Amino acid sequence: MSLSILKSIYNILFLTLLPFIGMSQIADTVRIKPDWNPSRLHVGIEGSRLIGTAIKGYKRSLGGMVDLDFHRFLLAFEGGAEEINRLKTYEYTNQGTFFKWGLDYNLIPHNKYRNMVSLGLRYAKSRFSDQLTFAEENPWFGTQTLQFSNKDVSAHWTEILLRLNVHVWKNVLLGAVLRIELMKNVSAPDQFIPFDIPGWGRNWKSGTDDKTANMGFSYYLIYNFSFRKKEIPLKKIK
Amino acid sequence: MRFWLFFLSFGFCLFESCNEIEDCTLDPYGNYAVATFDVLNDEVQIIAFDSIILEGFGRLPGDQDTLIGLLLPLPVENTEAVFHYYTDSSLYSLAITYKVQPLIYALSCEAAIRFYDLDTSYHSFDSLVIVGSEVHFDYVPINFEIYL
Repeated sequence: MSLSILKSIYNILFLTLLPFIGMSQIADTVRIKPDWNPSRLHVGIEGSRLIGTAIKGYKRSLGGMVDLDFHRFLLAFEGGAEEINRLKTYEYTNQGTFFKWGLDYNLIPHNKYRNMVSLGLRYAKSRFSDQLTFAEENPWFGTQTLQFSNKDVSAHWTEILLRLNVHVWKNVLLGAVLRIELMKNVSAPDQFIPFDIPGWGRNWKSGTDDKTANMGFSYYLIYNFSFRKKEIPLKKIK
Repeated sequence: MRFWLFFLSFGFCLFESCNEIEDCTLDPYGNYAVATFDVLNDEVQIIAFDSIILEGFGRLPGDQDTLIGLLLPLPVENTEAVFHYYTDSSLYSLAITYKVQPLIYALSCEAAIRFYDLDTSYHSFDSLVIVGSEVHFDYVPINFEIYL
């Protein structure tokens, strides 16, 4: 990965976290005993995928997430399914599923509304099949209709996340996630390089080579299932 | 909540800024390889063929012209193309092997075929040099230099 991409990633993370750096300028702290027992389960549906399905005629997708808290950490799982049908001068179809799991670290555990800003890491895996059909105009052989397909292609990659959850009403939260997707690896496809990868996005950058890094943004509508009372850690004393 | 709204608008801006500008005229992939002829001991460096036959297809158009170069059509469904060059006194043959990779060059452009790993499995010319092993008009305008 080039230095400029790393610089961009650093700048985005720095600028987004800037407000919280100011919050942490506090003189003294109270040491509290960590509570590692889970206290609640978040179950969410990815709103951005539902909106995308409604407004983008070529794409149907569904995604969701579950996370469980352990002290300041969250064990998180995400998954979804995607179906793409791009109808241009060619027809490209892609159907598949994706699954992501990893850990989040809550940066503001003492927030009295249990809002959350967290940094996370995910391992992601996708499995899909795709097909490309197009007419090739050739001055020697005439117009030929060509069809190529890949079956059971798998891809995996790593994601760095900045996540924000805000309580909006009773047990309902809104979540937003900024993702930086890296280290993509696609298993050898049968006939052609896939144009899309479910869960990752566009695999092929226009006119050049495949995308080695990607950036994504997701919105979630989350329900909080609380199964035991957990004390909010005391805020640091000034 | 305000920060969440900021985050939301940040996401929309990010999506908008990631839109790519696509120019289909920059598509560098074609469906033929290019060969040039270098005739030894001939100052004008041109050659006239009676006919050029592509096995499985037939005669290539324009094959009776005097030539300093020739386009070699590559069938997509095969991985080898065999050409026979007839002059009034001799017959030359050239068998090209290649790999095929379909791709969508850009979302709004037509799908293209990339021919790569071009090689020769047989030829009967005096000598032949593979100048470019990929059909890519930006990087390699000529694929084969053929010496007669």
